[in-house]
Amino acid sequence: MVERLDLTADHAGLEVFSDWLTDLAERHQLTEGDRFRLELVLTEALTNIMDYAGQAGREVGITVACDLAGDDMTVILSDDGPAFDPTAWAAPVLPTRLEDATPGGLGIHLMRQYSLAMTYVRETGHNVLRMRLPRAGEIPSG
Amino acid sequence: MLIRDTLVDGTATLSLEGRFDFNSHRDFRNAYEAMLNNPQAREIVIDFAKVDYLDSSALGMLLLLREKVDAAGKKISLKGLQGTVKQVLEIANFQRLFNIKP
Repeated sequence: MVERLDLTADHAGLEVFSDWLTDLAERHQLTEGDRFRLELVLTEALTNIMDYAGQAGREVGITVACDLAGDDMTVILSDDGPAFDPTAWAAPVLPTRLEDATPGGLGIHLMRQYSLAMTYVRETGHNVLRMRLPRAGEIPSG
Repeated sequence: MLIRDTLVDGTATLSLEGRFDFNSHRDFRNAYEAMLNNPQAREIVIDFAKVDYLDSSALGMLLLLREKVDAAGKKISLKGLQGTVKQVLEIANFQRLFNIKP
């Protein structure tokens, strides 16, 4: 069974998402680790969409779909905002000195590290981002 | 997120509890600015023992705090790292940027 949520690309939408995830985690009896992975990856992806949605000059809608039936968890985010491909972002060179450290790119880095696979397509005016997350255990090697 | 602060022998500890995310920005800033402006606080310790969630917005807040601590001529350490919180900080390489206490 695929769980779906429609929301707007703003901070009110993020609150709606948070309540939805809490309900979903309870209904599917997700482990603490699975819930954490799902929440982190989806929050980072939604925050990115909200950041670039401002360029649209209109309300941007997002649909979140989660398939929790398989061995892995699959999430698909679809939005009608400006084209943005997070998979095209080069992996950040992680800073080893404070002088080199910037917050930019850390969200996408976390999405990559917690996903087994992350793919993006632009189709019929929508960004479609699909991520497959492991159920439990260690994080993927990324 | 709940934030409790203590100041003992020049060490100001901010003990965080709950979710450290974009909603925590104002409370976290208010808490650390009070410590940055306190001349008795020579070191700031952020205690994560009761944090159960953090994301990249929290990482950004920590980097900003680190800059301000350096500018104020003070020290900063992170402590109480465990579980998923420790994992996220390590993925971001923060163990190389911050002094980590047990």
